[in-house]
Amino acid sequence: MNYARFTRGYRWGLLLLATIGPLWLWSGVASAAAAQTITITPTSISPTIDPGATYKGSFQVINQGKDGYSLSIYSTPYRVTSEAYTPDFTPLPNAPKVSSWFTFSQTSAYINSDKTLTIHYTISVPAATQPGGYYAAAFAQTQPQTSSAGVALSERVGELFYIEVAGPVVHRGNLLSWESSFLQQPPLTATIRIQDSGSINFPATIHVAVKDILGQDKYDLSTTKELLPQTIRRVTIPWQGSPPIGLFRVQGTVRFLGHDDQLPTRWVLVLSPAVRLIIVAFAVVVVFIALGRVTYRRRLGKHRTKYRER
Amino acid sequence: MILAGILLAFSGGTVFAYTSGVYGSSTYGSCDYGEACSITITSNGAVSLNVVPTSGGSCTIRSDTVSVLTDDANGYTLTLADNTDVTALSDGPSTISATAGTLASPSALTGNSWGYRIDGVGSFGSGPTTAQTNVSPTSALFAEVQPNSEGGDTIADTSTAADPAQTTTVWFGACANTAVSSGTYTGQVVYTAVAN
Repeated sequence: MNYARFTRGYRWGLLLLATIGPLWLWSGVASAAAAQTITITPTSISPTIDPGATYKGSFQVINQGKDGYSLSIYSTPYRVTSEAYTPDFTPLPNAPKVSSWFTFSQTSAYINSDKTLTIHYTISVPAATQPGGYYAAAFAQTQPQTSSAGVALSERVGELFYIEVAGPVVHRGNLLSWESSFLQQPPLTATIRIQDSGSINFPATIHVAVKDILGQDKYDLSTTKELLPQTIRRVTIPWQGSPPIGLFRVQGTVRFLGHDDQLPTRWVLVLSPAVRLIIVAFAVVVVFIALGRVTYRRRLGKHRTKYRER
Repeated sequence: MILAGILLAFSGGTVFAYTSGVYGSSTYGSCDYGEACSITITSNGAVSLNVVPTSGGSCTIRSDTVSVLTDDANGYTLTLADNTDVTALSDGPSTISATAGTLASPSALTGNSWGYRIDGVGSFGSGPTTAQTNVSPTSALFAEVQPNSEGGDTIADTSTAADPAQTTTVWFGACANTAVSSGTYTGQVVYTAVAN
Protein backbone atom coordinates (compact mmCIF):
# COMPACT_ATOMS: atom_id res chain seq x y z
CA MET A 1 0.00 0.00 0.00
CA ASN A 2 1.20 3.44 -0.84
CA TYR A 3 1.32 5.18 2.49
CA ALA A 4 1.62 8.65 0.95
CA ARG A 5 -1.52 8.16 -1.18
CA PHE A 6 -3.41 6.85 1.79
CA THR A 7 -2.51 9.82 3.99
CA ARG A 8 -3.30 12.30 1.18
CA GLY A 9 -6.66 10.70 0.58
CA TYR A 10 -7.37 10.57 4.26
CA ARG A 11 -6.61 14.29 4.64
CA TRP A 12 -8.81 15.25 1.68
CA GLY A 13 -11.60 13.15 3.11
CA LEU A 14 -11.33 14.91 6.43
CA LEU A 15 -11.34 18.31 4.72
CA LEU A 16 -14.43 17.39 2.68
CA LEU A 17 -16.25 16.13 5.75
CA ALA A 18 -15.37 19.27 7.68
CA THR A 19 -16.81 21.38 4.85
CA ILE A 20 -20.01 19.45 4.30
CA GLY A 21 -20.78 18.67 7.92
CA PRO A 22 -21.67 22.16 9.25
CA LEU A 23 -23.63 23.12 6.12
CA TRP A 24 -25.69 19.97 6.23
CA LEU A 25 -26.48 20.53 9.87
CA TRP A 26 -27.92 23.99 9.19
CA SER A 27 -31.60 24.44 9.81
CA GLY A 28 -32.41 21.11 11.20
CA VAL A 29 -32.84 17.47 10.43
CA ALA A 30 -35.51 16.19 8.10
CA SER A 31 -38.56 15.64 10.28
CA ALA A 32 -40.77 12.59 10.43
CA ALA A 33 -43.54 14.48 12.26
CA ALA A 34 -46.97 12.87 12.16
CA ALA A 35 -50.17 14.59 11.14
CA GLN A 36 -52.30 15.71 14.07
CA THR A 37 -56.08 15.94 14.18
CA ILE A 38 -57.95 17.57 17.03
CA THR A 39 -61.70 18.12 17.46
CA ILE A 40 -63.69 20.05 20.03
CA THR A 41 -67.42 19.94 20.67
CA PRO A 42 -69.52 21.98 21.21
CA THR A 43 -68.24 25.02 19.34
CA SER A 44 -70.05 27.60 21.46
CA ILE A 45 -72.27 28.04 24.50
CA SER A 46 -74.30 30.93 25.94
CA PRO A 47 -74.73 30.58 29.71
CA THR A 48 -76.42 33.15 31.95
CA ILE A 49 -74.74 33.45 35.33
CA ASP A 50 -75.57 35.59 38.37
CA PRO A 51 -72.82 37.80 39.79
CA GLY A 52 -70.96 35.81 42.44
CA ALA A 53 -72.31 32.50 41.13
CA THR A 54 -70.66 29.63 39.31
CA TYR A 55 -71.54 27.67 36.22
CA LYS A 56 -70.32 24.16 35.50
CA GLY A 57 -70.10 22.54 32.14
CA SER A 58 -67.91 20.39 29.94
CA PHE A 59 -66.63 19.97 26.42
CA GLN A 60 -65.09 17.07 24.61
CA VAL A 61 -61.76 16.84 22.84
CA ILE A 62 -61.47 14.07 20.27
CA ASN A 63 -58.39 12.63 18.58
CA GLN A 64 -59.41 11.12 15.24
CA GLY A 65 -55.83 10.86 14.02
CA LYS A 66 -53.53 7.87 13.85
CA ASP A 67 -51.20 8.91 16.66
CA GLY A 68 -51.61 10.16 20.19
CA TYR A 69 -50.37 13.55 21.28
CA SER A 70 -50.05 15.81 24.29
CA LEU A 71 -52.34 18.76 24.59
CA SER A 72 -52.96 21.73 26.82
CA ILE A 73 -56.29 23.26 27.85
CA TYR A 74 -56.71 26.91 28.73
CA SER A 75 -58.98 29.91 28.35
CA THR A 76 -58.47 33.25 26.65
CA PRO A 77 -60.53 36.39 26.19
CA TYR A 78 -62.60 36.55 23.01
CA ARG A 79 -63.28 39.70 21.03
CA VAL A 80 -63.52 40.72 17.42
CA THR A 81 -61.73 43.32 15.37
CA SER A 82 -63.15 45.32 12.47
CA GLU A 83 -66.52 44.81 10.80
CA ALA A 84 -65.14 41.61 9.29
CA TYR A 85 -65.39 40.19 12.81
CA THR A 86 -61.91 38.72 12.83
CA PRO A 87 -61.61 36.74 16.07
CA ASP A 88 -59.01 37.97 18.51
CA PHE A 89 -58.03 36.08 21.62
CA THR A 90 -55.67 38.62 23.08
CA PRO A 91 -56.57 40.65 26.17
CA LEU A 92 -57.60 44.28 26.02
CA PRO A 93 -56.00 46.60 28.55
CA ASN A 94 -58.39 47.54 31.36
CA ALA A 95 -60.98 44.99 30.23
CA PRO A 96 -62.37 42.46 32.73
CA LYS A 97 -60.16 39.37 32.82
CA VAL A 98 -62.89 36.96 31.81
CA SER A 99 -60.45 34.15 31.11
CA SER A 100 -59.52 34.15 34.80
CA TRP A 101 -63.09 33.09 35.66
CA PHE A 102 -62.38 29.63 34.22
CA THR A 103 -60.96 26.59 35.97
CA PHE A 104 -60.56 23.24 34.25
CA SER A 105 -60.56 19.67 35.54
CA GLN A 106 -57.20 19.32 33.79
CA THR A 107 -54.98 21.69 31.90
CA SER A 108 -52.79 19.12 30.21
CA ALA A 109 -53.35 15.61 28.99
CA TYR A 110 -52.22 12.95 26.58
CA ILE A 111 -54.89 11.68 24.22
CA ASN A 112 -54.47 8.48 22.27
CA SER A 113 -55.73 7.84 18.77
CA ASP A 114 -59.51 7.43 18.47
CA LYS A 115 -60.08 8.59 22.03
CA THR A 116 -62.32 11.24 23.54
CA LEU A 117 -61.36 13.35 26.50
CA THR A 118 -64.04 15.15 28.52
CA ILE A 119 -62.88 18.38 30.12
CA HIS A 120 -65.00 19.83 32.92
CA TYR A 121 -64.89 23.51 33.62
CA THR A 122 -66.23 25.92 36.21
CA ILE A 123 -66.94 29.55 35.48
CA SER A 124 -66.86 31.68 38.63
CA VAL A 125 -68.22 35.18 38.13
CA PRO A 126 -66.89 37.76 40.60
CA ALA A 127 -69.60 39.20 42.82
CA ALA A 128 -68.98 42.78 41.73
CA THR A 129 -69.35 42.07 38.02
CA GLN A 130 -71.74 44.40 36.24
CA PRO A 131 -74.60 42.82 34.28
CA GLY A 132 -73.89 42.42 30.60
CA GLY A 133 -72.02 40.33 28.05
CA TYR A 134 -68.58 38.85 28.66
CA TYR A 135 -66.76 36.71 26.15
CA ALA A 136 -64.08 34.05 26.28
CA ALA A 137 -62.77 30.97 24.51
CA ALA A 138 -61.62 27.63 25.86
CA PHE A 139 -58.91 26.04 23.77
CA ALA A 140 -57.50 22.58 23.38
CA GLN A 141 -54.08 22.85 21.75
CA THR A 142 -51.69 20.17 20.56
CA GLN A 143 -48.10 20.53 21.59
CA PRO A 144 -45.50 21.23 18.89
CA GLN A 145 -43.74 18.02 18.03
CA THR A 146 -40.31 17.66 19.56
CA SER A 147 -38.41 16.52 16.44
CA SER A 148 -36.09 19.18 15.10
CA ALA A 149 -37.59 21.01 12.19
CA GLY A 150 -37.65 24.39 10.52
CA VAL A 151 -41.20 25.05 11.62
CA ALA A 152 -43.00 23.04 14.29
CA LEU A 153 -46.77 23.21 13.92
CA SER A 154 -49.40 23.23 16.62
CA GLU A 155 -53.16 23.17 16.22
CA ARG A 156 -55.84 24.49 18.52
CA VAL A 157 -59.60 24.41 18.42
CA GLY A 158 -61.83 26.50 20.62
CA GLU A 159 -65.27 26.70 22.15
CA LEU A 160 -66.62 30.23 22.33
CA PHE A 161 -68.39 31.40 25.49
CA TYR A 162 -71.05 34.11 25.21
CA ILE A 163 -71.58 34.74 28.92
CA GLU A 164 -74.43 36.90 30.17
CA VAL A 165 -74.01 38.13 33.71
CA ALA A 166 -77.59 38.42 34.87
CA GLY A 167 -79.18 41.74 35.64
CA PRO A 168 -80.52 44.73 33.74
CA VAL A 169 -78.89 44.80 30.33
CA VAL A 170 -79.46 46.89 27.24
CA HIS A 171 -80.65 45.04 24.17
CA ARG A 172 -80.23 47.40 21.26
CA GLY A 173 -79.30 46.95 17.64
CA ASN A 174 -80.07 48.23 14.18
CA LEU A 175 -79.63 47.38 10.55
CA LEU A 176 -77.08 49.81 9.12
CA SER A 177 -76.95 48.89 5.47
CA TRP A 178 -78.00 46.39 2.83
CA GLU A 179 -76.09 46.46 -0.43
CA SER A 180 -75.79 44.50 -3.62
CA SER A 181 -74.36 46.51 -6.49
CA PHE A 182 -76.27 46.55 -9.77
CA LEU A 183 -73.31 45.61 -11.97
CA GLN A 184 -71.17 42.78 -10.61
CA GLN A 185 -68.75 40.11 -11.65
CA PRO A 186 -69.34 36.57 -10.43
CA PRO A 187 -69.88 35.67 -7.66
CA LEU A 188 -72.95 37.77 -7.06
CA THR A 189 -72.47 39.24 -3.60
CA ALA A 190 -74.75 40.93 -1.10
CA THR A 191 -73.58 42.68 2.05
CA ILE A 192 -75.44 43.43 5.26
CA ARG A 193 -74.16 45.48 8.16
CA ILE A 194 -75.75 45.17 11.58
CA GLN A 195 -74.88 47.08 14.72
CA ASP A 196 -75.12 45.99 18.33
CA SER A 197 -75.22 49.19 20.35
CA GLY A 198 -76.32 47.54 23.59
CA SER A 199 -74.52 45.81 26.43
CA ILE A 200 -75.23 42.20 25.49
CA ASN A 201 -74.79 40.03 22.45
CA PHE A 202 -77.69 38.87 20.32
CA PRO A 203 -78.12 36.61 17.31
CA ALA A 204 -79.23 37.97 13.96
CA THR A 205 -80.83 35.60 11.48
CA ILE A 206 -80.27 36.63 7.89
CA HIS A 207 -82.10 35.14 4.94
CA VAL A 208 -81.10 36.04 1.39
CA ALA A 209 -82.77 34.71 -1.75
CA VAL A 210 -81.70 35.21 -5.36
CA LYS A 211 -84.25 34.81 -8.14
CA ASP A 212 -83.93 35.19 -11.88
CA ILE A 213 -86.14 37.54 -13.89
CA LEU A 214 -88.71 34.78 -14.28
CA GLY A 215 -88.98 34.56 -10.50
CA GLN A 216 -87.33 31.18 -10.23
CA ASP A 217 -85.24 30.52 -7.15
CA LYS A 218 -81.55 30.33 -7.91
CA TYR A 219 -79.88 30.64 -4.51
CA ASP A 220 -81.14 30.67 -0.94
CA LEU A 221 -79.16 31.08 2.24
CA SER A 222 -80.12 31.43 5.86
CA THR A 223 -77.48 32.07 8.43
CA THR A 224 -77.39 33.21 12.05
CA LYS A 225 -74.62 35.52 13.17
CA GLU A 226 -73.83 36.52 16.71
CA LEU A 227 -73.38 40.23 17.34
CA LEU A 228 -71.16 41.35 20.20
CA PRO A 229 -71.97 44.57 22.10
CA GLN A 230 -70.62 47.84 20.75
CA THR A 231 -69.65 46.31 17.43
CA ILE A 232 -70.75 46.43 13.83
CA ARG A 233 -70.75 43.18 11.90
CA ARG A 234 -70.49 43.10 8.12
CA VAL A 235 -71.94 39.91 6.71
CA THR A 236 -70.97 39.19 3.12
CA ILE A 237 -73.03 36.61 1.30
CA PRO A 238 -71.54 35.39 -1.99
CA TRP A 239 -73.39 33.16 -4.44
CA GLN A 240 -70.45 31.02 -5.55
CA GLY A 241 -72.48 29.38 -8.29
CA SER A 242 -73.26 32.63 -10.13
CA PRO A 243 -73.31 32.19 -13.92
CA PRO A 244 -71.15 34.49 -16.09
CA ILE A 245 -74.14 36.51 -17.23
CA GLY A 246 -77.60 37.12 -15.93
CA LEU A 247 -80.07 39.54 -14.42
CA PHE A 248 -81.17 38.68 -10.91
CA ARG A 249 -83.37 39.89 -8.13
CA VAL A 250 -81.89 39.76 -4.63
CA GLN A 251 -84.23 39.81 -1.65
CA GLY A 252 -83.96 39.03 2.01
CA THR A 253 -84.94 39.48 5.61
CA VAL A 254 -83.06 40.13 8.82
CA ARG A 255 -84.44 39.16 12.19
CA PHE A 256 -82.98 40.25 15.53
CA LEU A 257 -84.21 41.37 18.92
CA GLY A 258 -87.75 40.41 18.01
CA HIS A 259 -87.82 42.58 14.89
CA ASP A 260 -88.14 41.47 11.29
CA ASP A 261 -86.69 43.72 8.63
CA GLN A 262 -87.64 43.14 5.01
CA LEU A 263 -84.65 44.02 2.88
CA PRO A 264 -85.42 46.11 -0.21
CA THR A 265 -85.14 44.20 -3.46
CA ARG A 266 -81.93 44.75 -5.36
CA TRP A 267 -81.53 44.08 -9.09
CA VAL A 268 -78.13 42.76 -10.08
CA LEU A 269 -76.67 42.36 -13.54
CA VAL A 270 -73.89 39.81 -13.51
CA LEU A 271 -71.29 40.11 -16.26
CA SER A 272 -68.06 38.19 -16.03
CA PRO A 273 -64.83 39.83 -17.28
CA ALA A 274 -64.91 37.66 -20.39
CA VAL A 275 -68.46 38.71 -21.19
CA ARG A 276 -67.56 42.36 -20.67
CA LEU A 277 -64.64 41.92 -23.04
CA ILE A 278 -66.95 40.50 -25.67
CA ILE A 279 -69.35 43.41 -25.24
CA VAL A 280 -66.54 45.94 -25.52
CA ALA A 281 -65.10 44.20 -28.57
CA PHE A 282 -68.52 44.11 -30.20
CA ALA A 283 -69.03 47.79 -29.47
CA VAL A 284 -65.66 48.63 -31.00
CA VAL A 285 -66.55 46.66 -34.13
CA VAL A 286 -69.90 48.43 -34.39
CA VAL A 287 -68.26 51.81 -34.02
CA PHE A 288 -65.71 51.01 -36.73
CA ILE A 289 -68.42 49.79 -39.08
CA ALA A 290 -70.46 52.93 -38.44
CA LEU A 291 -67.46 55.16 -39.00
CA GLY A 292 -66.64 53.26 -42.14
CA ARG A 293 -70.15 53.77 -43.55
CA VAL A 294 -70.10 57.48 -42.71
CA THR A 295 -66.73 57.88 -44.41
CA TYR A 296 -67.90 55.92 -47.44
CA ARG A 297 -71.01 58.03 -47.86
CA ARG A 298 -69.06 61.25 -47.62
CA ARG A 299 -66.64 60.10 -50.29
CA LEU A 300 -69.52 58.94 -52.46
CA GLY A 301 -71.17 62.32 -52.05
CA LYS A 302 -68.02 64.18 -53.11
CA HIS A 303 -67.53 61.89 -56.09
CA ARG A 304 -71.08 62.55 -57.32
CA THR A 305 -70.66 66.28 -56.90
CA LYS A 306 -67.51 66.27 -59.02
CA TYR A 307 -69.26 64.19 -61.65
CA ARG A 308 -72.16 66.63 -61.87
CA GLU A 309 -69.80 69.58 -62.16
CA ARG A 310 -68.18 67.94 -65.16
CA MET B 1 -78.93 40.60 -32.35
CA ILE B 2 -75.42 39.39 -33.15
CA LEU B 3 -74.21 40.47 -29.74
CA ALA B 4 -77.15 38.78 -28.09
CA GLY B 5 -76.32 35.64 -30.04
CA ILE B 6 -72.68 35.73 -28.93
CA LEU B 7 -73.66 36.26 -25.33
CA LEU B 8 -76.25 33.53 -25.48
CA ALA B 9 -73.69 31.15 -26.93
CA PHE B 10 -71.14 32.08 -24.27
CA SER B 11 -73.58 31.54 -21.45
CA GLY B 12 -74.75 28.27 -22.87
CA GLY B 13 -78.04 29.76 -24.03
CA THR B 14 -79.35 30.22 -20.49
CA VAL B 15 -79.80 33.95 -20.07
CA PHE B 16 -83.55 33.74 -19.80
CA ALA B 17 -84.20 30.06 -19.15
CA TYR B 18 -82.37 28.56 -16.18
CA THR B 19 -82.90 25.10 -14.88
CA SER B 20 -85.18 25.46 -11.91
CA GLY B 21 -83.84 24.57 -8.52
CA VAL B 22 -82.47 26.11 -5.42
CA TYR B 23 -78.72 26.36 -5.11
CA GLY B 24 -77.45 26.42 -1.56
CA SER B 25 -79.44 25.99 1.60
CA SER B 26 -79.40 27.17 5.15
CA THR B 27 -78.01 24.23 7.12
CA TYR B 28 -75.71 21.38 6.29
CA GLY B 29 -75.23 18.09 8.03
CA SER B 30 -76.90 17.68 11.35
CA CYS B 31 -75.76 20.80 13.19
CA ASP B 32 -77.72 24.04 13.24
CA TYR B 33 -77.37 27.24 15.21
CA GLY B 34 -77.61 26.49 18.92
CA GLU B 35 -76.95 22.77 18.59
CA ALA B 36 -73.82 20.91 19.73
CA CYS B 37 -71.57 21.45 16.75
CA SER B 38 -67.99 20.33 16.40
CA ILE B 39 -64.90 21.65 14.69
CA THR B 40 -61.81 19.67 13.66
CA ILE B 41 -58.42 20.81 12.46
CA THR B 42 -55.67 18.69 10.93
CA SER B 43 -52.15 19.57 9.81
CA ASN B 44 -48.92 17.75 9.08
CA GLY B 45 -47.17 18.54 12.34
CA ALA B 46 -43.96 20.12 11.05
CA VAL B 47 -42.28 21.61 7.99
CA SER B 48 -38.55 21.12 7.38
CA LEU B 49 -36.66 23.98 5.78
CA ASN B 50 -33.15 22.65 5.21
CA VAL B 51 -30.99 25.29 3.53
CA VAL B 52 -27.36 25.22 2.36
CA PRO B 53 -26.37 28.89 2.51
CA THR B 54 -24.53 30.65 -0.28
CA SER B 55 -22.97 34.09 -0.37
CA GLY B 56 -25.81 35.37 -2.52
CA GLY B 57 -28.52 33.72 -0.47
CA SER B 58 -30.20 30.34 -0.83
CA CYS B 59 -33.87 29.57 -0.19
CA THR B 60 -36.00 26.55 0.52
CA ILE B 61 -39.81 26.52 0.25
CA ARG B 62 -42.05 23.78 1.63
CA SER B 63 -45.77 23.45 2.27
CA ASP B 64 -48.16 22.28 4.92
CA THR B 65 -51.78 21.39 4.26
CA VAL B 66 -54.18 22.34 7.02
CA SER B 67 -57.80 21.24 6.86
CA VAL B 68 -60.84 22.28 8.86
CA LEU B 69 -64.04 20.30 9.19
CA THR B 70 -67.12 21.66 10.93
CA ASP B 71 -70.83 21.05 10.87
CA ASP B 72 -71.50 24.46 12.37
CA ALA B 73 -73.83 26.14 9.88
CA ASN B 74 -72.01 29.47 10.30
CA GLY B 75 -68.70 28.14 9.10
CA TYR B 76 -65.31 28.77 10.64
CA THR B 77 -62.36 31.13 10.79
CA LEU B 78 -58.81 29.80 10.56
CA THR B 79 -55.90 31.92 11.74
CA LEU B 80 -52.14 31.45 11.72
CA ALA B 81 -49.75 32.92 14.26
CA ASP B 82 -46.43 32.37 15.91
CA ASN B 83 -46.92 30.27 19.03
CA THR B 84 -44.54 32.59 20.88
CA ASP B 85 -43.72 36.28 20.68
CA VAL B 86 -40.40 35.45 19.02
CA THR B 87 -41.16 35.52 15.32
CA ALA B 88 -37.64 34.66 14.19
CA LEU B 89 -36.32 31.16 13.63
CA SER B 90 -33.89 30.69 16.47
CA ASP B 91 -30.85 28.64 17.35
CA GLY B 92 -29.90 30.04 20.71
CA PRO B 93 -28.74 33.62 20.20
CA SER B 94 -28.57 33.22 16.43
CA THR B 95 -31.72 34.03 14.50
CA ILE B 96 -33.23 34.12 11.04
CA SER B 97 -35.52 37.13 11.13
CA ALA B 98 -39.12 37.15 10.02
CA THR B 99 -39.67 38.89 6.72
CA ALA B 100 -40.83 42.49 6.81
CA GLY B 101 -43.81 41.66 4.59
CA THR B 102 -47.30 41.35 6.01
CA LEU B 103 -50.52 39.69 4.88
CA ALA B 104 -51.72 43.03 3.56
CA SER B 105 -48.39 43.88 1.96
CA PRO B 106 -46.19 40.82 1.47
CA SER B 107 -42.63 41.05 0.17
CA ALA B 108 -40.01 38.78 -1.37
CA LEU B 109 -37.64 36.98 0.97
CA THR B 110 -34.15 38.43 1.00
CA GLY B 111 -30.95 37.86 2.91
CA ASN B 112 -31.66 35.88 6.04
CA SER B 113 -35.42 35.79 6.47
CA TRP B 114 -38.40 33.50 6.60
CA GLY B 115 -42.15 33.74 6.22
CA TYR B 116 -45.31 32.19 4.85
CA ARG B 117 -47.57 32.60 1.83
CA ILE B 118 -50.87 31.19 0.57
CA ASP B 119 -51.65 31.21 -3.14
CA GLY B 120 -54.64 33.34 -3.99
CA VAL B 121 -55.07 34.85 -0.54
CA GLY B 122 -54.72 38.57 0.11
CA SER B 123 -51.91 40.14 -1.92
CA PHE B 124 -49.78 36.98 -2.22
CA GLY B 125 -50.68 36.46 -5.85
CA SER B 126 -52.14 33.40 -7.47
CA GLY B 127 -48.95 31.36 -7.62
CA PRO B 128 -48.73 28.47 -8.15
CA THR B 129 -46.01 28.02 -5.58
CA THR B 130 -43.93 24.88 -5.79
CA ALA B 131 -41.58 23.17 -3.36
CA GLN B 132 -38.01 24.32 -3.94
CA THR B 133 -34.70 23.52 -2.30
CA ASN B 134 -31.61 25.70 -2.18
CA VAL B 135 -32.62 28.08 -4.96
CA SER B 136 -31.71 31.71 -5.39
CA PRO B 137 -34.16 34.15 -3.77
CA THR B 138 -37.33 34.28 -5.86
CA SER B 139 -39.92 36.96 -6.49
CA ALA B 140 -42.59 35.04 -4.55
CA LEU B 141 -44.12 37.19 -1.85
CA PHE B 142 -44.13 36.15 1.80
CA ALA B 143 -45.50 37.54 5.04
CA GLU B 144 -44.31 37.50 8.60
CA VAL B 145 -45.94 34.96 10.90
CA GLN B 146 -47.48 37.37 13.39
CA PRO B 147 -47.04 36.81 17.12
CA ASN B 148 -49.97 35.18 18.83
CA SER B 149 -50.15 38.16 21.18
CA GLU B 150 -51.12 40.31 18.19
CA GLY B 151 -53.90 38.02 17.04
CA GLY B 152 -52.33 36.39 14.02
CA ASP B 153 -53.56 36.43 10.41
CA THR B 154 -56.86 35.06 9.12
CA ILE B 155 -55.96 32.68 6.33
CA ALA B 156 -59.34 31.08 5.64
CA ASP B 157 -62.95 31.51 6.58
CA THR B 158 -66.34 30.35 5.44
CA SER B 159 -69.90 31.39 6.16
CA THR B 160 -71.35 27.90 5.81
CA ALA B 161 -70.52 24.49 7.21
CA ALA B 162 -67.30 22.89 5.97
CA ASP B 163 -68.19 19.29 5.38
CA PRO B 164 -66.27 17.74 3.68
CA ALA B 165 -63.24 19.42 5.21
CA GLN B 166 -61.78 22.43 3.46
CA THR B 167 -58.05 22.55 2.96
CA THR B 168 -55.61 25.45 2.89
CA THR B 169 -52.05 25.00 1.62
CA VAL B 170 -49.59 27.14 3.56
CA TRP B 171 -46.13 27.61 2.06
CA PHE B 172 -43.22 28.32 4.38
CA GLY B 173 -39.99 29.70 2.99
CA ALA B 174 -36.57 30.43 4.50
CA CYS B 175 -33.53 32.09 2.94
CA ALA B 176 -30.02 32.22 4.31
CA ASN B 177 -26.59 33.45 3.24
CA THR B 178 -23.16 32.72 4.63
CA ALA B 179 -23.46 35.54 7.15
CA VAL B 180 -25.58 33.28 9.33
CA SER B 181 -23.87 30.64 11.40
CA SER B 182 -24.69 27.00 10.83
CA GLY B 183 -27.09 25.36 13.21
CA THR B 184 -30.63 24.15 13.76
CA TYR B 185 -33.05 27.03 13.55
CA THR B 186 -36.60 26.40 14.68
CA GLY B 187 -39.85 28.22 15.12
CA GLN B 188 -43.38 27.37 16.25
CA VAL B 189 -46.55 28.18 14.40
CA VAL B 190 -50.08 27.66 15.72
CA TYR B 191 -53.25 27.25 13.65
CA THR B 192 -56.45 28.31 15.38
CA ALA B 193 -59.90 27.22 14.23
CA VAL B 194 -63.13 28.46 15.77
CA ALA B 195 -66.69 28.44 14.55
CA ASN B 196 -68.14 31.75 13.44
